[in-house]
Amino acid sequence: MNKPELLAPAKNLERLKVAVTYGADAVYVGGERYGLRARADNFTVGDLQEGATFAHRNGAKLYITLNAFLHDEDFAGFGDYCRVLDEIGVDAAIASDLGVIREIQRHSSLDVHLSTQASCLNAAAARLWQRTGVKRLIVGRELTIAEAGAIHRQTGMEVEMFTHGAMCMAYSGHCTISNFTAGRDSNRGGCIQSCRIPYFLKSDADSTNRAASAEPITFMSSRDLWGIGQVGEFFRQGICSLKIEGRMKSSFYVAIATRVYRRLIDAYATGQGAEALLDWAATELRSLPNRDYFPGSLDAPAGHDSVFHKHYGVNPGTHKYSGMVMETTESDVVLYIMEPLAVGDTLEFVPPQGEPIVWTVKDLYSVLSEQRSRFRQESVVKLPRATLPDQGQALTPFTAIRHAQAAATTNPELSVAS
Amino acid sequence: MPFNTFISSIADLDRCTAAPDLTEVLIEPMLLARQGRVGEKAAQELAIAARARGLRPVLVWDALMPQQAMEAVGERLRTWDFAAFAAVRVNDLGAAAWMQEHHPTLPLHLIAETGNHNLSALQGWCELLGHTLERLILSIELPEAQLVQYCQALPVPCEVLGAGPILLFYSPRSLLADPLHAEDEDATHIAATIAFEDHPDRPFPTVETPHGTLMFLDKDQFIGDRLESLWKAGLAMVRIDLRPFSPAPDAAPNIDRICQQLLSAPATLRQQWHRPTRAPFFNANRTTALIPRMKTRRLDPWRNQAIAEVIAGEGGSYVVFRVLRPFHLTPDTQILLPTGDRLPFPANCNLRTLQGVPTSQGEADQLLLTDWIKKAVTGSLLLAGSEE
Ligand code: SF4
Repeated sequence: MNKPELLAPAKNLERLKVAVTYGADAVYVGGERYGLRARADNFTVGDLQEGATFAHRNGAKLYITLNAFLHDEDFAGFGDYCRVLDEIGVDAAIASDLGVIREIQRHSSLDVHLSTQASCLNAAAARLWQRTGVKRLIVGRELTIAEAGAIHRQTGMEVEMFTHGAMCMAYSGHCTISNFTAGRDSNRGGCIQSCRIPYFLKSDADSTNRAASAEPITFMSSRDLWGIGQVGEFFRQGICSLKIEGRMKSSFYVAIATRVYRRLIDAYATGQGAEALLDWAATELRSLPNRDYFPGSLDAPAGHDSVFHKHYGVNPGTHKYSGMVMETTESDVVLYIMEPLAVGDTLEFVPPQGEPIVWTVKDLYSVLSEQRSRFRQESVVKLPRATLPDQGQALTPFTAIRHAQAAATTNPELSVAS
Repeated sequence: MPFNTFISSIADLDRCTAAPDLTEVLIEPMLLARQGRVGEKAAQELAIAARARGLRPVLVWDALMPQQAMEAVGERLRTWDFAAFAAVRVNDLGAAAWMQEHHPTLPLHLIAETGNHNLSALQGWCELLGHTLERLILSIELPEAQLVQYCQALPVPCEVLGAGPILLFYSPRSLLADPLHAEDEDATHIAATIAFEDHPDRPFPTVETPHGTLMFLDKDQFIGDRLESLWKAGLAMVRIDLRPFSPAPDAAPNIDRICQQLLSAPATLRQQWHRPTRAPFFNANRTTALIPRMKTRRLDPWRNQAIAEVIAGEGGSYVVFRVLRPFHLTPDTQILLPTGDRLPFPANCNLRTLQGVPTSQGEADQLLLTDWIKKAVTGSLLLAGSEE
């Protein structure tokens, strides 16, 4: 049976390690240049080296995104960079621009995965891409799983699909709103998310303005994708990799999303059935900030109900990211906390495997082992193992910690299937 | 100076016949073209009528095609007579592949507009599509110098938009019918105008068709008065697009007058154009320089040298470092502050593990403590010395 790879995003080394710790089979990252999320605080060459070592030591793969559409002058240093990636042992490059693909092939032996930005949508297009030497297709998010499966069967190529995360409303690579309204190239990482904002909308057909919106409305913003109900179909259609979107997202997001899909994939693979886990998966994913999840076009093309109407911002999620386990010693579990923490507060540790551990803080210590009743945010604190359930045995470095937020604002009418 | 334009009626064809230098017409069947208005039979009839008038009819297949749509369209196209068409204009590589398989002698025009901004990519398309590729349609995001270079360097002739709307956004989803309550209306095109909340005076034409939703800039591209260097470089075709503002069933009102003016008084034509015009990237495309600058934080350039980062601390008491990569402390190790200033790592600052064991080295992800170091606030980086 084909068991799809689980592919998680990582903005930096910490998130790469979180992703691998939570069960990702592969992680995709961006370098400092040449990617759509290219920015200087992305992976340096040193980070890539360490990331590859960490991933490979744990049986995971490392892919690098080189998926910007480049202008001629952007290629400066590109060949050297590809050679370095090859030496580091990066497992594949994700690219969308044919020029970039040709340069990768000229300067390295890296496998190339065709980015979703190239909007490969059918088997006929896939066959042409195959001739360029591309090994895997990350097909457009407009396809159903059945369509992606047909492409896989008709071409014999590896086909990867997004299973989770934010979605472009446009065909990927076919939106230049930012280019022409803000001078920022969305195909080189400059998208200003113009689809997420409200617009005044007026029908041209009606001189009485029957359909004009007196108030601006958000009508171009897509709800977020989730494929929790489609895991079995991914298996059946031979999809080789399930990808989680979100290279700019937090360690918390990476941990929770990876944990959920890891469990669903494993449950299906072992015949336990992922369906029984659907409510659990939905609850877990709703702990993250989101735009009212829906299954995108995985089952059928996205319809009118695929728009996220909220003006600005997202649903905050039912839980807030509180921190992460940084180190464990014989006597203590050491946390980095994002929020203020006091004795009596309730935290929820979310280990990579097993159930979350809900725990009320009893004793807090500084790194100098001074007992305190509270710490401000962005502190490092020690918890004595003796005070933790089961001595904190399930807690390993990179375990995410969260706490429930007062009010969940996810639209209650939206069911798992919607 | 060859021009082409979109047509959707015999009246359009008659005007095209009278238009100087207009040699080619673009025919958009609803089945294949994202803004298509004509039926399948009408498209084929228009092609025959164009031929009869000495015009070169090009079939437009610019809608992107998810697998199922591709299969269905492929079935329908088997019944078509392509003999009347001189070429097919494609956007989706699948459409190119379908044509090569079923009509291998019919020339292809590849729309290489969005995200095709380097010579290597364009040469790649020429190699991939081989002898059937008759033309590349280049992006208006390319500056004049690049367009000139590509026209000279590429092995196939090129086309560029000379005057017409700038497409900003192409989604397969129906985005207008619902908010405009037009689901039940028997219209294949729903036209609307949208405007930013903070710029209600900038109207962006937006249209929903059976292929999805398209949004255009509030100003038209116009380089009709700046074509000299491109002609000299061998530009093969300039496109004039009058579609969105044409009263049905026409797509090319006044094309005869417009072509005449393009030849005789292009600057006047620009001034009289029916919408405001611009050519935002024709002089230069500065979007490259902007992005790295926008995204670089002050300390980012040093991250490759950083061995640890300050993640917490308490004034007067301690500093917590998180080790980024394995290191041995050397005398010239420095602390780089978020302000960009540097401090020498104090020799007496007592680097130690969380268990209090003194150390001069660190392992990735390990937490290390020192006594308080003044100014070493969260985000400061420990930089490897030259001996590291
Ligand atoms: S504005 Fe929206 S649709 Fe356009 S590129 Fe950005 S996220 Fe995608």
